[in-house]
Amino acid sequence: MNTKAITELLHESFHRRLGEQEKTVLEKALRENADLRAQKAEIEKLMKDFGEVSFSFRPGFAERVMNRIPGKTGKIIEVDFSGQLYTFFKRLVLTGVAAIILLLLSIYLTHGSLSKESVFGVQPMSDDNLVSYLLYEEE
Amino acid sequence: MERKPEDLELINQARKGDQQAFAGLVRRYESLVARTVIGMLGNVPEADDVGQEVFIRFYHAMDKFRGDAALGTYLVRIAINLSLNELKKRKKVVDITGWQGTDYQVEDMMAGEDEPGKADAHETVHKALETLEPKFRSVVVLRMIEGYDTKETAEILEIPLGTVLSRLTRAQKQLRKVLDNVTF
Repeated sequence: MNTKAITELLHESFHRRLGEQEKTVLEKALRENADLRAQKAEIEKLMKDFGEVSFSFRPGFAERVMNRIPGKTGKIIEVDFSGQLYTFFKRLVLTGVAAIILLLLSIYLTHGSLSKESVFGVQPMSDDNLVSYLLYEEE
Repeated sequence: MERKPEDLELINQARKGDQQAFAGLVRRYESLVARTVIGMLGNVPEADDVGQEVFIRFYHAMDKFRGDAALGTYLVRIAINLSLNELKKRKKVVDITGWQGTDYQVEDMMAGEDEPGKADAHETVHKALETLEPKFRSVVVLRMIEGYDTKETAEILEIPLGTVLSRLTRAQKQLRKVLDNVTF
């Protein structure tokens, strides 16, 4: 077994149970190789140091969690503003469309057509009429 | 990790609306979640928020918890996933703004150690962890800090056992390199 494979085996020996053959190979390598023994000591120290470390949250953690949890009624009132806005605009659009349809219908019934002139309420005007209209001066 | 019969009892009480029972669970597992979250994110204000979120998520999923796995393992799984999400968010911020956040680089760490002999073990472990990529950090946190065996670590992270072993080996090599110049 080469050095790299032995080193891998050494690392793995801390995290899984080695087979009998692997154990024999590793023990032999450890007896013969001082560098490997040093590596083993380093890993042992690493495992110990990391195992001893303790991290904790700031005091009052449980209270902070409980403050974020709904009360005994168990209900959080969520205001869905976007939903209300959507409903409002939907009603507005439907009312608008209905008004436009009614307007067009009444125009059609009154003028008998839905031409531009009837919709905008403008009478057709010839060029002569327009010129005389513009030149008209009130006395 | 062993299943505690009292956990199910407290969960049942909490399901019925007993807030004190849930608070009891939070206190019982606070340190476990703290080791996972702070191990993953470092001792930053977001770690507290993520820790809270772990319990909030559990609160909302409590009715689905059947107790097949130990509650501790269940919470640690949530904690790891939320921490990985937080790290992804941080990476996005770094990508966009170039801000390095609180993650230390090996060089930064060595540069800060004027007196290696006086290095604080706690802080050193912290900084050494932050030099690891999240996928390596998670196996180290679960195996070396939380003390799960490799099989449990593989189950929590939902990765093959062989992957856990290879990540542990690589992580340990890097940690040894990082900590080589630092004396606890």
